[in-house]
Amino acid sequence: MKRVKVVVVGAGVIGFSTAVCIAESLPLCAVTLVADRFSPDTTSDGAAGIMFVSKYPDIDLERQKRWFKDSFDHLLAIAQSDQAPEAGVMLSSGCQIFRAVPAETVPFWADVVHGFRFLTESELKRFPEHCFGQAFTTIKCECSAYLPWLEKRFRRAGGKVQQSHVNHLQELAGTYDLIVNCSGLGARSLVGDQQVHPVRGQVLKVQAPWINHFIRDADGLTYFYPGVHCLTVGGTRQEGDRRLEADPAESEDILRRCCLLEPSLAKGKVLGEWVGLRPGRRNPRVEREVLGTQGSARRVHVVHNYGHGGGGVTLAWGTALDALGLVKQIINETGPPEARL
Amino acid sequence: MRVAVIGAGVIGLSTAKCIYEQYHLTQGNLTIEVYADRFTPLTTSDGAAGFWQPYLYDNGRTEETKWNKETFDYLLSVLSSPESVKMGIFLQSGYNLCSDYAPEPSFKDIVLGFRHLTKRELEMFPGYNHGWFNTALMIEGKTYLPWLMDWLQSRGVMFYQKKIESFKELADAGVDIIINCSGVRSGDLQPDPQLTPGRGQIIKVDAPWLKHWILTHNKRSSTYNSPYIIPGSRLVTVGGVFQVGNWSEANNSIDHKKIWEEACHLEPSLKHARIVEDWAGLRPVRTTVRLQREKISCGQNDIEGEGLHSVLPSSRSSHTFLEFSSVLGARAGAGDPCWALGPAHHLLTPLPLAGLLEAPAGGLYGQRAGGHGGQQAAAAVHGEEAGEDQKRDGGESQQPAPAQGGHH
Repeated sequence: MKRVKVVVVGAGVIGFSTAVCIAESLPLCAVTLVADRFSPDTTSDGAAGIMFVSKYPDIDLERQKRWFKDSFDHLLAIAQSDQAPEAGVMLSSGCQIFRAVPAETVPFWADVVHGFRFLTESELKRFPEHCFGQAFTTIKCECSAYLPWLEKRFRRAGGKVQQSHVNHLQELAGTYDLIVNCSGLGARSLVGDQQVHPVRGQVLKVQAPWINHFIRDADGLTYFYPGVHCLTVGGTRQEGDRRLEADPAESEDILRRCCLLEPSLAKGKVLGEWVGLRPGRRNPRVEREVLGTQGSARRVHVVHNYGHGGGGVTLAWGTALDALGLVKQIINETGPPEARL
Repeated sequence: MRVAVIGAGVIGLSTAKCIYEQYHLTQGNLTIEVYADRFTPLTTSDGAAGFWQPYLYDNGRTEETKWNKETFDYLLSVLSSPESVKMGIFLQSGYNLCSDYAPEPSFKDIVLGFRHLTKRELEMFPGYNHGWFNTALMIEGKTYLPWLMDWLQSRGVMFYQKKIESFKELADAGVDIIINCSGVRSGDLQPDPQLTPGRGQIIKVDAPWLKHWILTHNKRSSTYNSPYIIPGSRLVTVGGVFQVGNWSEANNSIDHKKIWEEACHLEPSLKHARIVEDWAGLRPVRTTVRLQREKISCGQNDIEGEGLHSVLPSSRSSHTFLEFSSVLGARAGAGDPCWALGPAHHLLTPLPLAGLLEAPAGGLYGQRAGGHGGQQAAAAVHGEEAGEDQKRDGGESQQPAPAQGGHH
């Protein structure tokens, strides 16, 4: 029987996670991943990769919980295995601090991370401008290592990788039976989704090996995450800003804000700066669609998995599993490729 | 006043610092000398992981818990100073794992954020079904000791590389007070049947993805004879063994194999980690910390009558290096004098017969703030085996009995 030809567009954490899920679970699929940029040049590469997320407004809460839990369980298993160093996955403890007590003191993922608790009064003394905090242990997944590790896994499952730029999804309709769109920010032009917009983030990489805990200000603007070799120190959230060059004034401001939380950071060695454009969207788009193709009666099935904003690494595996579910659905409905419309 | 400290590990150097801080303004002509045959990076303190944690239970020796707390609080206060990085002091969280239910440890109110491990956390560690999580302090000897030496040297403390063979040697040289911080080899100076080596061997590994320490406690094996993994600022320390009476400082392959296999079982991510080196050290083990004053007469010297010698040393095991530095109040908050805390108070109290220490008006503790008075009095009364007066006839020195637990 002819195999179902699947193409995954995008080589960031969403693209490779989804491609691996499909290639490993569905041997009847021949999966090719196509992208113009690969690690270390994807948005995922510079992200701190700490498992943490804010609620999306319009997605069913149970679904968001499942995305978070599936991702956490998947990464935790890697962290606990001999694959951890190669995959760039590690456990990380720290806290999130708030300037005002939030309406929701216990987030929906509190029972998934480890050891979730509130900060005590004496712990908060160190942050005079903050009056509430949460401590927990979560996972950090560094894509500069994780993406190559996923690619290895993908190829071992029979996946093929191709570097090229796709202008329209319809281009692929002739060659493939099913398209999985993990194009992130690129979806804006690739499928004409005006909801997708860049949310610029600038970070510094700092060497300060005496810092073992992360601290995140709940405003999402000031944070530092100790990683395998260095800290990711940030940050910014600039909607609609496409500048890819680092801004030195912003770097100074980031360091100033973070040093207020952790003065010893000032003794760290700045290794470099990095800028990424988060694929912002009101909610991630994880759904199926049928696209008509120009000039022919052929229609092609598409599974979308893009628009995760700053939650890409956190939700990659969970949304990839959802996308896999949609791929399975499509295959079941459409039967063998020859019978497809 | 000439003070000689024997030993340049964390105990000796911390003690010297405390003495300087407490007395350099009030004691005229205070000089401090440190004698040791080994200095950083070759001391026991250098090889230790540098993790602040006492044994799980003080078994009623509440003074030890008090010393531990004083040390922890001091180190914590240092954290917010600009010196903390140069001192090698930083916070790190982690897991204490028990194979079965165990009561909460004596240090639970000292460390930060102490809590029980959840079921899901314990699932990460098969074979362990009880335990705790907390944030504690690291104090890396290879950084802290050089920092202490710089601090002391810049204040005129003199260092001598010399193995002191007897207290008399120093007394004859004109030293007024000797502080014995000679650790595991204190038996060479004065027989101590309670002192014995607790040999440890560790493997230093490059595994920078590990940010939590993991200590295991098995009822079957004694503490530190079961695996532990303690990340440092550059390398991870993996152990352990705890071999009482073993004087060998050589690395042992059988120990290496046991340590490595058990650690990889505990933390599978270590499997492909690069091993950098092995190291073996002798924890100075004792039934209790010896913090005690002793008087030794030194015959015909410049010092007439009895000299006053404070014998202060052997800690109970490696981690109590830190407990111990609290004894002399290794605590230097801004503006605080350094306290000779707890039982150490009595060390520096003039004995009725000693004419050597000239107590300034108001006593040695004239500068001490009110609160410690009661503490000092209590310390003088409780538990202290305040120096048996060992009088030796002038001119003759009694040969010390051979040290117990000879070298293998």
